[in-house]
Amino acid sequence: MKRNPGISEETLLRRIRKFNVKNSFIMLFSVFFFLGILMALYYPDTEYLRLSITTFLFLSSIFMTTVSLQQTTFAGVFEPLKAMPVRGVEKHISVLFLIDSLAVLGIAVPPAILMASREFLSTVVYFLWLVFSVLFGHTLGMVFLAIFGFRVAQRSKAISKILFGVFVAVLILAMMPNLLVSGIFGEIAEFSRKYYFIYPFTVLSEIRMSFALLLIYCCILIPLNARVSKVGVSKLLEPKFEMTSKATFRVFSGNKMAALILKDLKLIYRHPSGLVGVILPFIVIVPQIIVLGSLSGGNAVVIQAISTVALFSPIILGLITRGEGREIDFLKNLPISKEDFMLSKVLTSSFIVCSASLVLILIAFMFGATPLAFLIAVPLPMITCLFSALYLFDYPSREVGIPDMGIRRMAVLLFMCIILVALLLAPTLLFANFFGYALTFFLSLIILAFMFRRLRNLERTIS
Amino acid sequence: MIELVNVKKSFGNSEVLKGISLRVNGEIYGILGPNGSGKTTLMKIVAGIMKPSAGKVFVEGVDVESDPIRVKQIVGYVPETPILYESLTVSELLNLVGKVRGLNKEELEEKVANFARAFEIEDYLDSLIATLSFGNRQKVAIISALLHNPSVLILDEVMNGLDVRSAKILRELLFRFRREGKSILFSTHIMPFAERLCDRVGVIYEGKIVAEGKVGDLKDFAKVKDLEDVFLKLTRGEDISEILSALI
Repeated sequence: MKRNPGISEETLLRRIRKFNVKNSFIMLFSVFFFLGILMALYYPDTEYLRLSITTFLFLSSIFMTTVSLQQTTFAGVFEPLKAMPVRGVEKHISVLFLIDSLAVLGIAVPPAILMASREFLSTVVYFLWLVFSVLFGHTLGMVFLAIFGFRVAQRSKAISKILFGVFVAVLILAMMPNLLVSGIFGEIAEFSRKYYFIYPFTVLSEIRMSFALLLIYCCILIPLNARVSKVGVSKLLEPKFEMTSKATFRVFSGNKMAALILKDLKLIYRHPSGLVGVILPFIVIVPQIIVLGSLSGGNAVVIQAISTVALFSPIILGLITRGEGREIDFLKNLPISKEDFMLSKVLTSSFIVCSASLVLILIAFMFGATPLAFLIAVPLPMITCLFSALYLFDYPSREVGIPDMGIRRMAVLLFMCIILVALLLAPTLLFANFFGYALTFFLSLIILAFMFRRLRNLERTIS
Repeated sequence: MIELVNVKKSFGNSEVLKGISLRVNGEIYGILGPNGSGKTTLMKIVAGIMKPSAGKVFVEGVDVESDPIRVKQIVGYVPETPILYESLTVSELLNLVGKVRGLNKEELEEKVANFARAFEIEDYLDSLIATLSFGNRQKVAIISALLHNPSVLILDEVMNGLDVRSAKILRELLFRFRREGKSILFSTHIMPFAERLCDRVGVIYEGKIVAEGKVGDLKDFAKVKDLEDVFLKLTRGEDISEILSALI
């Protein structure tokens, strides 16, 4: 019953009714916590780790504040508040989004635990700096909204441009420090020692100095946050409205499947949580590849890149499927079979993870990896996407629906994906030559063909 | 043609539909009933979105339960509350519908242009659905249901939120569809609409059809002046004036 999408609408409605900020926070925190474990595992340099996490939290907070607030306003969530006799609405909204942004702290917890085992007091101060980073990012996001306001245009292009701008800026800004720090960390360390009083280098200064600086920064930031939050949110509640000229209808090229994939990609692009979910793997993996590449190079980097990307497949597939939300009811009205729906999800998630995989192999190639690695860059992540879809959508109904994706079920899936990837990469690990890569490639093709066949025969299996 | 044979639907212990049988063939059939009487459940079952607990539903001879995809190809369904992709623009949504329904480029372009003009949503084609008013969303839902020229229409409270002009256009369209022999199942709370639009009506109450027939016949049967009174008499059988005097 639980896994039957025939009742998924009721389940979903029940979830919506049960929704609260606490649960949403815990969920987001857990995802970031998982990423934090990966970061803690792969970055041996503590100073580097401290600086990159601080920068990441600061940028994520700007991103989450600006994008989430704009999206929420766009969806008209604040409209009922305007009619209510409630004082200090701006403050409440601002705090709500600050709480939302604090969930990214999850990424800092595993590395912090590791650090605390060595230097407890210094880690406590560092953690306070991380909380400060989120507040700082939130404040800057609010400053951005207070200065530039928020124009609600009739056309989606206006919001798309804003979103795209923020997306690219955050991606570049998040990558750059990591690339710089990992590449020329010695120089950065020297620079940070000289300008220890400038944030984010403050996190690397001596413990007492760091704490004093934190207090000074907080004295400035907290009143500033209170002031700009009020102005920023009030500008959001009363946005400028722009009417645009007449629109024209243009038909996209492509068939039914292309339309479904395009829809999924647009939903991810326009949904902050989806977008964050998709860019996070890049932010986490790229520095790993660079660090590992500069340390060991070659085969290890390839294995690392492909296995990590492949393991992100269930999460990406889950994000895309969950992204349908209640709007899946619209698809239920259309003549779309369960296998069409599954295939569209597999292809969308494969598009994302395979793109990531190819980019990473390209980076690995710069660190001396063999070009043969490109052979397995696509089939392996595709296999984990397909496997995840077959596992998650294994419910006894032919209807399109959102399957059960509870934490337990996702954990089992992740475990099975680890085994699958390990088995497929075993020849590459063992031989590390043409034969190894070719064997992994052919094995992957056979499994892919088998899984696609299984997906295509799903209708028959169920009936 | 739509045919329902002894359709039942239960949610847990609560039986919402208690054996509904009806046939709609090349006509506009109005389903009338108070809130919670099972109208929307019935509509969803006919559209192939919900499965009946018992009984059979056929749309143009196709068994809804055994081939829901074929039924969805035939049917155009407008739900009571249009749930559309909020983060897509109107153009993107109609493109999606057109592609899924297998319309070619020229056909889709022409249909969207004509419907957008008729329902005055040309200026909103590039707008995100999230920014549209309820009425405009309803128009988008109607266009989505009509794009593929369905032979069977299932319209659940379709007039909700529509402005006078759009309501008139839709009414005229439905008359034209009826002349073309399409079968239309139509639910509404607005009795004057039902009176003007429907060839036959069925009054559903507590999961059962308590009366069915032409509007005139029902009025004669209930010995009242208009359909509103027929409805009240059949569903509640109580005097509204007594309730009103207790309120004021």
